[in-house]
Amino acid sequence: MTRLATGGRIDRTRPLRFSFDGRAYTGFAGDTLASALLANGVHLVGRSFKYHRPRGILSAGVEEPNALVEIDRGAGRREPNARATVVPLVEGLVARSQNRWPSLRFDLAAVNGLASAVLGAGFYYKTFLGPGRDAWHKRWEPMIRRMAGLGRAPEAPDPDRYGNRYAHAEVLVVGAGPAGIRAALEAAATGARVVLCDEQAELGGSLLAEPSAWPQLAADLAKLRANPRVTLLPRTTAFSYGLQNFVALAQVVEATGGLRERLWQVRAGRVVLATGALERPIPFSGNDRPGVMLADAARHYVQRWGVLPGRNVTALVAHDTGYSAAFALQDAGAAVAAVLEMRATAPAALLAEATRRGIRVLANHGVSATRGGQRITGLLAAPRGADGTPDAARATPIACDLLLLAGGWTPSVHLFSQARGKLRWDAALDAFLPDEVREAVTCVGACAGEGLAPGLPVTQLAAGSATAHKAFVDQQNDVTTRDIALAVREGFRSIEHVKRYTTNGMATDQGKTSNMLGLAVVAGQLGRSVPEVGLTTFRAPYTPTSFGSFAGRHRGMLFDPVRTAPLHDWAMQQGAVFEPVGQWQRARYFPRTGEDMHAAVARECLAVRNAVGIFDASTLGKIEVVGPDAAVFLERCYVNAWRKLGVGRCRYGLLLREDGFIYDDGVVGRIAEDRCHVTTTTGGAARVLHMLEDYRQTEFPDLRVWLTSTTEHWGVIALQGPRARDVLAPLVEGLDWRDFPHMAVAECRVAGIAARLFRVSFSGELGFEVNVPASQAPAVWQALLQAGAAHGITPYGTEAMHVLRAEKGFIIVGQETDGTVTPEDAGLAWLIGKAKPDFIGKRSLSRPEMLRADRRQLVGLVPRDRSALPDEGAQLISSADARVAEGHVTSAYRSATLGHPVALGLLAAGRARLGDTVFATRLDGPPMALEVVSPVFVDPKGERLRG
Amino acid sequence: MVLIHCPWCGDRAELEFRHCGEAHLVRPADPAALDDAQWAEYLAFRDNPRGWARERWRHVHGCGRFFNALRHTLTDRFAATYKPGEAWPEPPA
Amino acid sequence: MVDIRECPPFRCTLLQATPGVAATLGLPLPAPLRATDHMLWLGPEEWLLLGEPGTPTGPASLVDVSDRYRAVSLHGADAAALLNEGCPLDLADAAFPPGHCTRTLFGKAEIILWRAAADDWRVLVARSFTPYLLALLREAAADLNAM
Repeated sequence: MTRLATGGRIDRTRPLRFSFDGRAYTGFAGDTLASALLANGVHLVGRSFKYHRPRGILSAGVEEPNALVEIDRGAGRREPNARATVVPLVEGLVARSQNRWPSLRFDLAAVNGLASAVLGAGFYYKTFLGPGRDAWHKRWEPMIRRMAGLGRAPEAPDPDRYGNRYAHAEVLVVGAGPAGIRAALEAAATGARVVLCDEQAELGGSLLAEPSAWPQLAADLAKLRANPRVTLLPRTTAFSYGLQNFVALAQVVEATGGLRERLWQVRAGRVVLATGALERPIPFSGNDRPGVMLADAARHYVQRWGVLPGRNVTALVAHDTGYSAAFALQDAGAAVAAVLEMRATAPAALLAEATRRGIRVLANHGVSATRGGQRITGLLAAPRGADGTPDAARATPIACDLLLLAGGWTPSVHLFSQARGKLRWDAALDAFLPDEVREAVTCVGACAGEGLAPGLPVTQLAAGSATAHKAFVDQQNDVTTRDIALAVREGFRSIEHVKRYTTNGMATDQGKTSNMLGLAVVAGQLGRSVPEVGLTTFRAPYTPTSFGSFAGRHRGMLFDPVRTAPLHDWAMQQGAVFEPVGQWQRARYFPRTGEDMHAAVARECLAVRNAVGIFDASTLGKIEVVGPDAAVFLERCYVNAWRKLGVGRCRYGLLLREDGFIYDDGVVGRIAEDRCHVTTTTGGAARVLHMLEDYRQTEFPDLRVWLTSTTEHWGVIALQGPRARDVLAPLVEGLDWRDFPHMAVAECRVAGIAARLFRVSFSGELGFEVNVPASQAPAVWQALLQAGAAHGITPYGTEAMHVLRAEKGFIIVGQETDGTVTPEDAGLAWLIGKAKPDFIGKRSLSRPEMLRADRRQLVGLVPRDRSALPDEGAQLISSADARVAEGHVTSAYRSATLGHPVALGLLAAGRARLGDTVFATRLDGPPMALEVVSPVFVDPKGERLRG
Repeated sequence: MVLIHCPWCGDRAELEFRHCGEAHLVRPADPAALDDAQWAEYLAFRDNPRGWARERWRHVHGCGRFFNALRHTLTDRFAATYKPGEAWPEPPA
Repeated sequence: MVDIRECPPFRCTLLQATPGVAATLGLPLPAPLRATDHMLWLGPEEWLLLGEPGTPTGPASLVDVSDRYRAVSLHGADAAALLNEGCPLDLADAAFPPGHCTRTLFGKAEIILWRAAADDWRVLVARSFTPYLLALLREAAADLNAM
C-alpha cells in the first residue's frame, strides 16, 4: 500500500470496495479511481491507442490522456473512455482497462509498437489516398479495426434519465479554484444570482492540495452554500460557450435509480472564467511509461488524497513549481534521487532548499531514455547540448519508480476562445493569454496568467526532441515528436494541417497536454516562433460529453409529443391498429378476430360502399378565418373563387406556393359572410397557418381578417356511405335537409350537441363530417354508432380511407404531390377561378416550363394481369427494358370494390396515354405491365355522392 | 442559442423563432405585368450576403408576429430588429 | 416540491382585433405580456378571453377555443425550476412577476405560460399535447432536486 497514514481529504472511516480488471481493491470516500488505484500501487491502467504501449496515470484531472478506463455499472450503463482521474470512487465500482488483449499485462497487439515505423504520421492519409489503397482494404483495415479504437460502446439501451435546465444568472463562474471562489463571493455580495461550477467532485481546485488553505476554503464554501441566490455545481463541466454568454454545462448527478446527468443551459449576464492552467509534460524518449507523472499531479495525490505515488522519485523540471512537488513528496516519505533542472542554472533559493534537503540538483540536464516495462524503473540523466538534445554519451543512470515532469504551465483558454475571444502571446510568460472579446466575459486567476511565473520556454522544452525515439507529444493518439517533424518535412506548414495529418490533439482530450508541445515542435522545425505558427481552433465540447445529456428526456415516449385525437381511447378499446401520421397516432384499421390487415381493410371499404362507415377525422387541420375581408383574403390565397360562395356552402380549395406548385388542399365552408371554416391536411395544419399568417401580416395588411387555429377545438366524425343520411338524420336538429346538397355546411345540433355539419365526401359516397367540440366527440360518436347499428355502421381507419379516396381518384397532398406538381398536372385546373387576376402562385403557372405538354400528369394505373400490386414509389418506364423513368407510382392498393389492384401515378403526358401500357419497376423481379386509365375508378359521374 | 429581440416581447430564446427568408421583398402588385425574368427575380433570386443581412423572422412560439432583423451571417450577431414597414437600420460599421 | 394538477375544462375565446375595437368589450386591456383575471395578452392584436366573451363593436375575430386548450397548474417553491426543465425563459420574480403571461415552449410543446399569482403557475396547452406535457413535467419533477 502506498496510502499515507495521515493527511488528505479522504474519509478513512468510509472504506469503499471496487474492482479493476476483476481484482478487488479498497479505497476511501473522497478518492478518485486514479487515487485509489495509486493507493493500491496500481500504475499500469491502460494500453495506448495505436501502439498498445503500457500507460499509467499522467495527471490528476480532466486533461488525462492515458488513464482511460471502462466503468461498468450494469446493462446499458457501461461507459468507455472514462478518465480515471475524475471518476469519484463509489462502493462497488467496476472498472476495466481498455484496448488490450488478452490482458493488460500481456498484450499481443503491443507488437504494433514494432510496426510503428509504418504507422507514423499521415499513415491513414497515405493508405487511403495513395497507391496503397488495395493494401488498405485487404490488409491494414482488418488489422487496424481489431487493434485500434478505444473502449467498447454499451450494447443495451441506457436505462438512466438525463435532465435539462435552462438557467439565468447575473454571474456564471466557471472553475471553483481560489480565483473562482473569490469571484463568486464578490458577485454574491452584490445580491446577484450566481452559478459556480467546477468539473471536479469537490470544489476548491488547487486549494485542495494546500492543507493550510482548507479552513478558509470550508468557510468560503459554507458562505456560498448558505446564499439562496448562489447555485454550486460540482462535477459540472462548462463545455461550450455560445453567443451572448450562453454556456452549456454538463453536470454528472448519478442519483441512485434516477438522474444520471443534467445539461444546464445558462444565460449569464457576465461570465467569469477561472479555469486555471494545465501543467505541460515534457517530450523525451520513453516519456510515456507508467510512473511518469506531472509534478503537480503527484503533489495533489499526496496532499489531497494521502497517496504516495512513488517511493523513489526523480523530477525533471523546467519550472519552479517542480521543486515544490519534489519537496512535498519528500516530506511525505519518498526519497528524491535527483532533480534534473532543464534550465542552465537552478534558481538560487530553490537550489539552496534542495541542498538543505539533501536533494541532488543537476542543472542543464534532460532525460535521454527511460527504463522499465510496465512501470518506470530508471532513467538516463544527460546533460543538454547546445541545441537542447540530451547527450546520451554522457548520460548517468538513475533508478526511480516515479518520474515527475514539471514543464511549466499552459493557461486554460479554451472557453474564452470559444467565446470568440482573441488570444495574445505573452512572451514573458511563454503562453497564450486572453485578449479582446465582445462577450461579457472576464478571465481571472491562472487562466489569465495571474500568479504564474515563467519557466523554460516551451520551444526550449521541446528543443532537441524531434530526433528522440518514442518521445510522445500526444499520448492518447500516440503521436511522437518524430511524427510531427516528419509532417513538417513532408511540407505541412499550417498548424491546422499538421494537426489533421498527425492527429495530434485530436483525441478525446482535445490536446490539453499536447497542443502546446506540438506547436513547439513545429515552431522548432520551421525556425519560427510559437505565435507565428499559431494555435489550432478550440472547439466544443471542452471535455467529452455524453449523448445522453444532449438527448435529455427526448427519448422513448418523450422523444416527440405523441398526439392523440378525442376518439383515441375508444379506438384503443376496440383493438385498433395504429399508425403514426406526423406526431399523431391514428387508427389504421379495426381488425376483427382472425382478420389480417387486408381482410379488415377490404371489409371496411365494402361497408362504406354498400352501407355506412364511421371515421375519426379529428386530426384534419382547421383554421377559422374571420373578419369582413375573410372571403377576399381566401380569394387572394387559394386558387378558387370564393367571393360568390354562399353562406352555408363549401368548396374544395387548393393552395399553391408562389412557385405554382400544390402546397395544400382542404374544404372551405362559409359559416357567415365574415367567417369561413377552412380545413387543411393533417400534416399541413401548422405550415399552412404559418403561410397564411405570413401573407395576412406582411402582404395583405390592408385586409381586416384574422386567423385562428381550431384544429384541436373540433372533433370531426366522418360518416360515409349510402346509408349515412339514414344514420344521421334522426339525430340532427335545426337543419333544413331540403337545402343541404353535396358541399353544404350548416350549424345545427347533432345528438344534442352544437355542431358544424359538412356534407362532404372523401370516399365518393354520400358523406358527412360532423364537427363538435372535441370533449363532446366521444358522446356523439357513441350516439352515431347506436343509431347506425341497424344500418350496419362500420368503423374504418386511415388505410380504408386511403383506398376509398384512391378508388375515387382523390389526391393526397404529399403522396400524389411532391412539391413539383401543378393543378394542371393533378387534373385540378378546373378549380382555378378563371376570372381572378391574381392568387398565390398564379403568375408561375404561365411560365413556359409549366405549360409543357410532356409534364407528368396524374393517371390511374391497373396491372395488366389484374393481380399483382405495384410498389408505391416504383418508377414508370415505357417498355420493360427502358432505362428512362417517365414517372412514378404514387399510390397502390388492393381494391375490394373493383376486385383488382388500383394505383395512381404521375406519368409524362399521361392523360394522352389512356389505354397505353407502361411498366413499373420492381425491386424483386422484372418490371410489371400496367394499363394507363382514368384516375377515377369509382362513379366517374359523381352520382353516388350527390345521392 | 442566441437571444433575439422581438419588437413586441423583448429578448427571447432563438427556439421560439422561425427564420423566414430575406426581408424587404415586396410582392408585385400585378404579377401578370411581369415578364418571366422579372418574376423569376422576385421568386427565386436572393442576395444571400456574406455579412449583414436583412431578414424576416417570426416569433412563432410567442406573439406570432413577423418582423425584420439585421443579422450578420458570419458571426450570427443581431444588430437590430424592427417592425414590418419600418425603415431598415444601417448596418454597424 | 411541486404540486402538478390538471385543471377542469374552462371557457375561453380567442379575440383578435385592433386594441381600439378590443377595448369596446369594456374590460381593461392588459399590457403586453400581462394578464388580468379575464384577459391574457398573447400578441399585439391577440388576447385570450376567459369566461363569457362579450361582443366587441367593430371588426374583430372571436373564436371559441374552449376545447382547444387544457390547463395544468403548478404550485410550490420549485415550480419555476421545474418549468425551466423545458422552458427557456427567465422565470425569476424580477423577470416574470405574477400577472405575466406569454406563449412559449416547454420541451417540444408550445404552451401559454401564465403566472396567475406568485405561487400559481398555469400552463395552457393544446389538448393533444396534454399527455406529453404531463409526462415530461412528472418525470422532471421526480429528478428536480437530484444533485
